[in-house]
Amino acid sequence: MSALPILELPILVLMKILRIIDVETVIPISLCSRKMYHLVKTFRDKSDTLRLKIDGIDLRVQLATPDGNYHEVEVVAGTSETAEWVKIDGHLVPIDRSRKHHGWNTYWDDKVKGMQSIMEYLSDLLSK
Amino acid sequence: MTSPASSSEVKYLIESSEGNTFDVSGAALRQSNTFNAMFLNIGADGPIPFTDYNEATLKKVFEYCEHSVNEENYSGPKHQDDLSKWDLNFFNEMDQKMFIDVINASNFLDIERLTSYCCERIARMLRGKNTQEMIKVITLPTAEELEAKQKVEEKKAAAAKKVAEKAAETAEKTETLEELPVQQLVQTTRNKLTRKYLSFSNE
Repeated sequence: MSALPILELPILVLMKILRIIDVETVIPISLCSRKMYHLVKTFRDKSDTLRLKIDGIDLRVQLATPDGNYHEVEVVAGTSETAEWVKIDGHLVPIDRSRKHHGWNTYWDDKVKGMQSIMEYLSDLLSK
Repeated sequence: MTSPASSSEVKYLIESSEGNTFDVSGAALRQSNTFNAMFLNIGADGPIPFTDYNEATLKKVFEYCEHSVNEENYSGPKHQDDLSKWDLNFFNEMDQKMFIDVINASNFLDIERLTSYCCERIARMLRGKNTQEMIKVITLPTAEELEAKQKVEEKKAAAAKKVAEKAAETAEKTETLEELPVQQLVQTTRNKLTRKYLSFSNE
């Protein structure tokens, strides 16, 4: 089974799918399109409180789940040839899966601006 | 064939979109909340029409219901790893189109267990993928496709605008002609014909 047009499924089914997906999937699926972003924001499972830890020194945002797992989105200077390009908070940036930690690396020319954009994106996406 | 009795021996006739009918046991049908709400207490005189779905899809859905008749009451979504061998085979032997049809039918019939397993399966398909891979799986148009689509739409809009302008122009001309008094119109035509006759005579 390769392709599955989930946006064509009944809204109740789509809501169930978006409620089941884990935090690790929430970030990449929200980056697929504006429509998907709003669907994920509205219908994701909000029963567990996620904590957003902001590390201003290493420039990364950690998403901590109640069961102790966490996912990181790190702000890295420069670019990556292998990364895919996505739109975060209005900026087109390369992003790839981190090899060092459990999460994602995003590449920015201006790391401070990048950190600000990541914080805004995640806090808006995961707000209740 | 179709009585309100709650015995699992009772068989109901189901009608598919092709107009074909087939038997389903009452016990299997009672897993559908839609059926429970519509027919359980009043019974049905003839075949129950689920004509939005084809026979193959309905048979697949009720095959699942028949199999899970004796399972304990449903208590929330079961993790995909906990599915039995039969459940896994059931899902694996479906192609993509059938899978989507089964989800739609299961959602309509409100069979909670089957719908949840299908959703869990989709969530599992998305797990571990990056954004581009997800776009492919959920078949969202890419940025290039959206741009191409926008260009086509712009071209269509421009063409429609041109046609509308031309139509407005023609209508304006017709209106001017209609507004001319009849005598003036006759005079104009006569002058034109005279001019043509003269040009022919000169030649």
